[in-house]
Amino acid sequence: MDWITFGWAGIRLEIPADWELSGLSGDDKEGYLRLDDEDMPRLELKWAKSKRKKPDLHKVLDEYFKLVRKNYKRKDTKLNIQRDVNLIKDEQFFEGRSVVTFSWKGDIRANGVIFHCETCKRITIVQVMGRLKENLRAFTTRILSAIEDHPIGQNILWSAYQLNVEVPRRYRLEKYRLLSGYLLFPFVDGSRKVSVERYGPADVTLANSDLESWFRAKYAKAIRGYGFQMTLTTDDGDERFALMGEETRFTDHIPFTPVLAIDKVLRRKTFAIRLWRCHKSNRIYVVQSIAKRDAVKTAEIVAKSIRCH
Amino acid sequence: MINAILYKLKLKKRPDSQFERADILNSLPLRNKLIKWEVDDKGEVSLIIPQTQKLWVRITSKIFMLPNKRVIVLDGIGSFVWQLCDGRNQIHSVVNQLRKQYKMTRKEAETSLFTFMRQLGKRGIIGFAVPKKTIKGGKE
Repeated sequence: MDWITFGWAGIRLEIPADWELSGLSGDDKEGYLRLDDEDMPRLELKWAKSKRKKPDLHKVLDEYFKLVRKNYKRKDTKLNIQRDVNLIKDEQFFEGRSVVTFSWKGDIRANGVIFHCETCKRITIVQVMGRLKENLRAFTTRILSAIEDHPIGQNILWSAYQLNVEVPRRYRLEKYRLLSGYLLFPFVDGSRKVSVERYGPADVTLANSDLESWFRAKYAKAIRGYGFQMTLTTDDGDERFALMGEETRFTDHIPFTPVLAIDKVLRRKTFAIRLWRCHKSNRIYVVQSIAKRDAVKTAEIVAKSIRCH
Repeated sequence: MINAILYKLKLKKRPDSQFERADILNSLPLRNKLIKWEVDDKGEVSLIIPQTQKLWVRITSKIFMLPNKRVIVLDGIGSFVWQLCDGRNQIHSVVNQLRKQYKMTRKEAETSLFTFMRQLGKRGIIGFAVPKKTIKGGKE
């Protein structure tokens, strides 16, 4: 079985490659996500910031189990719940965290953990689910021992449907669109913006045009108001475009030197786009960055973090 | 129609579907035999749908001189799926072939296929043969 790294809202964990996102809500302060395999839900993740120094995890778990009882109880039998089960052997997992492990059996079975991290003040519930006769312990141990509930490096990993992108920590996910054939992740940091888009299948999207024409038609509104230059490179047979530009102003057409001093006072917005078609994965990727400073550097960092195949 | 409004306003609970996910994935999509279809040079499928034989439709068509058929042209992916709906490929097989042909993830392939099938099913262009369930005692 292949394992991959999955990330969302600062949380990072390892999961089997065939588990995919099937439910998502909330933001980095409080949220929920679920991963399913082909047949059933496999992992549930809930997180919330806690204002208390030592929150009562058992109380939080009681509330959580109310929902579990509602969703997974067998028709005529009671849900069998156990707490403080021996799931995690790695001592490092417990450093800087208050931890309660649990397991339950109903229509399906589950092993999980709730923990509060002293560093990020987050309460996180992770629950791994499986069939009644399945051996969950191996999965659970591997997933829980590798979980990170807050980002350690400069960037945060965001994953969905085989798209993994790392974005600098200061950017907050504004919204998301997860559609069949189109993914959108726009991030903001004040007036700075970064967005990541993925289109697929590329051969259907570009059936009647080339990549550049498609981009110019699709993003005509986005690039209006900017003067830019476009360079084309080829990497392993894949076309890659890099655009760099600056906001245009009406004063650009005024041949009067003192007017140009405005530029020294009010910086222009710069924008950078990295656009490429990956033949191996049959997808088109677009990374846009708009900022007064470092737009190009940010677009490069984000684009380089995407492994398209 | 009244039920649809009641479901929308959450005044009435929708009945649970009699089919589980496994049933849907094992079902066979079948083309409506009344609908003729052809493939053009680009590989796109055109569905020629005859006009409904209801009295009011026939009268309206005569008055406004409307054509007695309409043509729906499917895109590349739709055409690919349509040609797999020959009564031999179950839904899960169509999903796998879509994933292989267009390099989609399982979720992408299922979501787009289910949406497409739902639209065709609503229009009576396609039907679904669901396998009989095994009942107690091992009889089918």
